[in-house]
Amino acid sequence: MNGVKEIQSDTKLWDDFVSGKKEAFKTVYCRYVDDLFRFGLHFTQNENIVYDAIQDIFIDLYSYQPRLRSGGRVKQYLLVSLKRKIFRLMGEESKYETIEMDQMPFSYDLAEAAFDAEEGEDEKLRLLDKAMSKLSDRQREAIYLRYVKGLSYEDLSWVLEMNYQSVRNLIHRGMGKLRDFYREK
Amino acid sequence: MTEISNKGANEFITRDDFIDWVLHPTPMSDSYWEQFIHDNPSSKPDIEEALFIIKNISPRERLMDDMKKRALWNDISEKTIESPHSRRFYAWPAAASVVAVMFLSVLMYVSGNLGDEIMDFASVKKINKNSNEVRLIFSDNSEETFDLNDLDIKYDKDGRIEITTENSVKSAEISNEILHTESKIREKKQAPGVLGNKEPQMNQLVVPRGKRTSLTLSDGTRLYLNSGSRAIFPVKFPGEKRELYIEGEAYIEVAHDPQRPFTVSVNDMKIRVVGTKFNISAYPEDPCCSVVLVEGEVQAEIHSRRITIAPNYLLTYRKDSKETSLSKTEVTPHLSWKDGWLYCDKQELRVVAGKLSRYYDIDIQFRDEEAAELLLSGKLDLKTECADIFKAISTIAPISYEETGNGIIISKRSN
Repeated sequence: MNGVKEIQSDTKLWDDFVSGKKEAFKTVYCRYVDDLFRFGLHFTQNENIVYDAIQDIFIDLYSYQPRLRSGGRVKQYLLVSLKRKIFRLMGEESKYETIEMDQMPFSYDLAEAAFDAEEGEDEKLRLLDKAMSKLSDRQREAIYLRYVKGLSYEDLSWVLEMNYQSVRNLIHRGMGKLRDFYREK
Repeated sequence: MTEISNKGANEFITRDDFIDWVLHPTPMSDSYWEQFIHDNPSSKPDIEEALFIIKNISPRERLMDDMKKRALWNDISEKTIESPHSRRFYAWPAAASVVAVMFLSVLMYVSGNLGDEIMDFASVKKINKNSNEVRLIFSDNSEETFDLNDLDIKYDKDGRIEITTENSVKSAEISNEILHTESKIREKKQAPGVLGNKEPQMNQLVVPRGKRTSLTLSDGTRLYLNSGSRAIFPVKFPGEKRELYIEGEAYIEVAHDPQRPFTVSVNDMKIRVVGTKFNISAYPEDPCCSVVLVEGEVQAEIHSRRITIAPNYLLTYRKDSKETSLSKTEVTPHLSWKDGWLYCDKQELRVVAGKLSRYYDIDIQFRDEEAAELLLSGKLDLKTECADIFKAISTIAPISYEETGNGIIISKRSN
């Protein structure tokens, strides 16, 4: 039942915010700040950049409020805004080096094995971790959003700012590569 | 729609219906994929590989510190809500409204995930929240009620029930009544219609706010149920598995039996154990549920993810964001309720008040948010009156409280 409530209240939350309900703003913050923080730390190890970026996107969001329409996808909007903001802040930090947004790093360490991992599972996880590290940053990001965060391809094309088919291909190739590396050992 | 050529596990691992199944299994998709493997036995290794990859692909991530979260919010609200702000203009590109198709499958998932007798029973037996008696409800819907605290209810191997109270002064007074109750219960257990039924007989124990009860199951497993909790359990554990449903908070000592693994279900997760001691807190009204392990080893399954918990670890599951975190913890504070203490370690007064409200069965309200957000550390003696506890809190925290007819109202002290 949780899932239903969440979906319904996500749109409702957004609509409440759009229609000017102030408490909805805090609720948006509380609901998404964890997700944003974790997502952000894949792009940079510098927590302060992530904090600053989160602060900026919420201040922006608040100032855009009168112009927003109902029915928006708040999570996707926040994820893509955060990414853009971090990109900008990282650029300011390293003034000499200019990278494109699609060259942003996306670091990824697999979670540790379960304490009771079956025999050989540790080894398999190590292989998977190694295989992940051989993928491109965008492939890792897409896989993260699709398989860990459970975003749909449509959501993904928003966050990655790519069209639907390119996102599908990105995941397809990424997963193909991942499996090949994983099998190769 | 053009697809890149499909081969091997890649086919499964990128198939939407496969991913949906792994991330959000439903009884329908479970049986579809079972049948699929049955019909295509050669696909089994590929499917297993794809399953392993998807289930283990979560990265290691840091959680944001609660203090930092609050500080950041203060910064944001200062620059937004609390200041009249010049507004910039921006056009939000309209997006289609959110996936309605998912609703049905999510509904089915929840009713199906715990789709055994226990969950059927749990949904049928509505409990009366306003009752302040401990209630034991039998499989034929009849029930016994007890207006006593610290009851000890014991099921023996044959499913017979013995009820005693730890309060020695009272036990003498009520011993006759208890004997009488016990024999009545025995009669009920042998009521026709229940006998010869293959389904296990399910009983339910409801512990109201303000009371605690200990329960021993037929396999020797012991439970201490905290205020405002209920447990649904079979009179005898049939076959090879032992299953139990909990709502609220319980400290559980599972009788060791490697042949018959023990599963505790709460709304959002299942805990699998062999023999162990742990505390579980899963109140429907709380934003999180948590498991703290004292001894042994347990594995939690939250939706499709399995997380193993080692002793002295705390697993927290946030219901709204569906996120889990595992952290090392001091065990005692989590169990102290059963010995009449409440430990707090930088806990919001709101959370502490929620616990006290359940423990004492009183209504606690906050006049202002600020008071609710105060952080509290220390040890509270639950053996004293609730008002005394607030008196103690008000000496260390800047709050004042007033007693009303059936509760307490807390406000920030203005000085």
